[in-house]
Amino acid sequence: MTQVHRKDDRPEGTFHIPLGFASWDVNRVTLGIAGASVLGFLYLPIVVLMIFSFNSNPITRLPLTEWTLKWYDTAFSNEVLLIALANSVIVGAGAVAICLVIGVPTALALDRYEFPGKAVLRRFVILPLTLPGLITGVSMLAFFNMMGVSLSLATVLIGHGTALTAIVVTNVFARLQRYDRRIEEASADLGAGPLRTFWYVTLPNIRSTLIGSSLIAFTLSFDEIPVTFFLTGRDNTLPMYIWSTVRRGITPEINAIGSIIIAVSICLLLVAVFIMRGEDRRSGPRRARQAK
Amino acid sequence: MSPIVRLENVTKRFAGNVLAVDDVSLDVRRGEFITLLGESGCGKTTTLRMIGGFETPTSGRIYLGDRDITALPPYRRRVNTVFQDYALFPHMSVEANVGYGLKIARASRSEIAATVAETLRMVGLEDKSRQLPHQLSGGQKQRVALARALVRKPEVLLLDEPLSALDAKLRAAMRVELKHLHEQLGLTFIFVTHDQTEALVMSDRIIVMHEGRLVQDGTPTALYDRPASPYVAGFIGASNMFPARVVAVNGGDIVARLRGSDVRCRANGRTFREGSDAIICVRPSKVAILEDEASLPEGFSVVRGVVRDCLFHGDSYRVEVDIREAEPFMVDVKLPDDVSHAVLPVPGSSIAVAVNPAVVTAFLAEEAW
Amino acid sequence: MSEASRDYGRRRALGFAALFTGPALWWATVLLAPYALMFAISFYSKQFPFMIPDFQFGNYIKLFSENQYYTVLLRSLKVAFFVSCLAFALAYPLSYFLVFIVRRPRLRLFLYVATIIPLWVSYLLRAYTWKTILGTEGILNSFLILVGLTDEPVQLFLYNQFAMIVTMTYIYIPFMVMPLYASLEKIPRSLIEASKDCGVGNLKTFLRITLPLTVPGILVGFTFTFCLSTGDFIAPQLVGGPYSNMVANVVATQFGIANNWPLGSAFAMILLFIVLGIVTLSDKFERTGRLNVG
Repeated sequence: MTQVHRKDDRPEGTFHIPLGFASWDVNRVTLGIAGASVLGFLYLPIVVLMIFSFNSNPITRLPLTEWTLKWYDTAFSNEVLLIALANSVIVGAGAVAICLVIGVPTALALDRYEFPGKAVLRRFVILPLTLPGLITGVSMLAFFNMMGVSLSLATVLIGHGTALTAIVVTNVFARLQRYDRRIEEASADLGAGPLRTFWYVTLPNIRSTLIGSSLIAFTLSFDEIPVTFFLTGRDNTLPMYIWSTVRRGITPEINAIGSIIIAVSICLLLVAVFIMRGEDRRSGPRRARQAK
Repeated sequence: MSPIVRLENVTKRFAGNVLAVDDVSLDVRRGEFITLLGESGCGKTTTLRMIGGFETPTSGRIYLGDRDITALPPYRRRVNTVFQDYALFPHMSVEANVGYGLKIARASRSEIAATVAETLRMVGLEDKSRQLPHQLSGGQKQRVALARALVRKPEVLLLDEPLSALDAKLRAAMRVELKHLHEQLGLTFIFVTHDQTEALVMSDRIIVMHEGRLVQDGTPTALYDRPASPYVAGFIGASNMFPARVVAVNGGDIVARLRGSDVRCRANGRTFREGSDAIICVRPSKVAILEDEASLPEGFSVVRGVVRDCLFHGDSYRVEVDIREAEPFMVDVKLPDDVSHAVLPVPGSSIAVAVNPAVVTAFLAEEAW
Repeated sequence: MSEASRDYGRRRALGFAALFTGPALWWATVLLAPYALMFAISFYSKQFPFMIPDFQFGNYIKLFSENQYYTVLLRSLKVAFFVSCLAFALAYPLSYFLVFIVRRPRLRLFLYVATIIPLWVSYLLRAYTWKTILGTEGILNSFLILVGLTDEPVQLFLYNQFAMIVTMTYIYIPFMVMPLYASLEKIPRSLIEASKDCGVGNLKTFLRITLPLTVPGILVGFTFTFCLSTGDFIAPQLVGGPYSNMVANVVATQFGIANNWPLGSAFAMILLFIVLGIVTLSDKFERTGRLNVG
């Protein structure tokens, strides 16, 4: 960190760079440049990928040649790639379904009931997110192998479902902790049993969180390699296809499909974050449950 | 007539062995406006929640009419609740909120629409039916909560501090409105509050709770005039409360000595012994400044002291008299019509206060605070 | 206990069973059983091409006695450490800039979101782009030739530990920014102003106030980046070259072509213990740290 130079420290008439800063300060500028460089570092590769997806030179190198859409054309006429894309969508959708069916009841149980082993369960379900994906991958491979299950898209789907359920559990749990539980009491008070209360009151109030965390889970599944790598049979998902292609060499076709994936993921994620934030703002934090 | 709600030796112990409600028995008569009053943590809300079915008693029974409802879940009880902070369904319109109970009861669409419209008219919100709860003001939310609970035509309406989130002016207006609604509908209201004014204004009967126990059960006037314990006396209305020594016992009357002043008071069934400690309690509004010692009515006592301060209270002055106790002895002086001519005691001057034995309550020292 | 509270307890228990039996079975089958099985397999012995159920520590002993294996272990830890340090060196100024220099809250939020968005965006593609940047025929080399800094493509950029560390730093930086940003944002501005009012200089204020208060965030950031990079096997394979095998690569190989699952499981267990150990430790330190700060 540089030495302090505050504006009022300087004698009259010192050289002053008119950059339009409210208070010209070496620290601010140094940090500003540093911050901007790191952001640049984060986005440079993404920008590079996108630029070269439109560049006609089959080798990814400077200088840029002509502007073209042909790599997008090749990508979308590549049947293997399209099948892999379809597989990824199937796996993603199936994984999201598992995440919801398993994740929501788990979050509800953690939020509403006291039971032995609860603290352990809480740590346990997020293990697939904490541990390297590969550990979940190889252990499930060993398990399926022992059970005599042959590897296929179905095993990949189960693997993704298991690894990503934690996303739904943590988000829904956080939402349940924040929302006003007394609206459920009000529903019971007005004659609704537990199922109808869940359907009419709880579900509508956690809906955005469900949609948001599903989108995140889908995006992650769509990008997953470590688990897929061990659990897939002959069918490839899109990342596996890309992975096997890029290990051999670089093709601008991958730049094209990659640009699309990145653009779509960013959109999905922004939507997810936006929806979930909105829900918490609408129905504010619940009061501490009091026992008067 | 048999009580509509009956609590028999109800006790609630929460996890961690916290005793929230301690052996409470209570009969609520049909059509009564009854208030559970106490400081926060006294067990009043827990008691209400047990009647509503949100908590189950650790021991004891609860009856609704002749039916034992102790173990019934909330959705099987003909009791509805107006929650503190309303607990409106944030994702439903006012109309849907109010109609929810009917939808659950599988009423027909037309029936729901008619009842909802009628109920909203009753609480004066017919023009808000399409709005969402977050678009409403506090008072409007309060009415929606009320309408939602009433639409099921419950036998008993439970109200958990329904006015506490409103500002003072609105709160005062809603008190009257609730009271009228109660008279108009003829329902049984069980009301929970920590606000003694609210309780005194609205209730037919008040149950004072303290540390999980029922400490007094009576009409507002009975509570005010004949508090059952120093706690109730201190909790409801302003009180002069001082430790004193019993110097004479004379049939139903006793004389207690308070810093040199002898105060005559009624024993009210308590057994005092000469030389024992007592606590005497008297309302500032029921004593008067003695202008002329000769005019002291027969049997009245005199408390002497020095004027410490004189505080303007709108239609009266509160004179604080220093009697060499930690707290001053308070006297409320009603102002004459022409305030400018009022002659008020000057701080620092000596003063005498006349005390009617009939308005003094004496407690045994063991009944402590 | 009264009949009523027994009834109530029974109702709660029934509700819980209805809600949670399915998920509990699911968790037990697809998560608990596989982890347990892998733990068991790590003690099996190998008689090519079969594995024999057994209970012996041969696999673990092998990992710590054979040069090729413990080198990989040490290399993994070394690389993970460098990645964490580099990520920290880059992430701290960025977070500091976002929290203390960017004044408009909306702009700050936007920049923060922009920083962590890459976190969720295609891991594989982000690793892959570095290959296109650092390669012999890649963007960096062609740029250097274009501006005349070199005539021959520099071979040093790709397929070595340097490339691996750069790529992994790039991939895991957002995990460092998140906790640092959160802990910096929690520092009350008044504290820093108070320190400056007392005549303490910026640098001293930073070292005495800001830095100590962000220690919990730093710990969490290091934990994230360290654990993630130890367990990575994609980036090393993509940009790492011949001497960049990491623990995860060995596990992948043993479960793949080498087909020695017991050894692979043992290595996976080591990885698991390293990660869980670090997570537990940092959790503990973070908590005591929080107590000290008050």
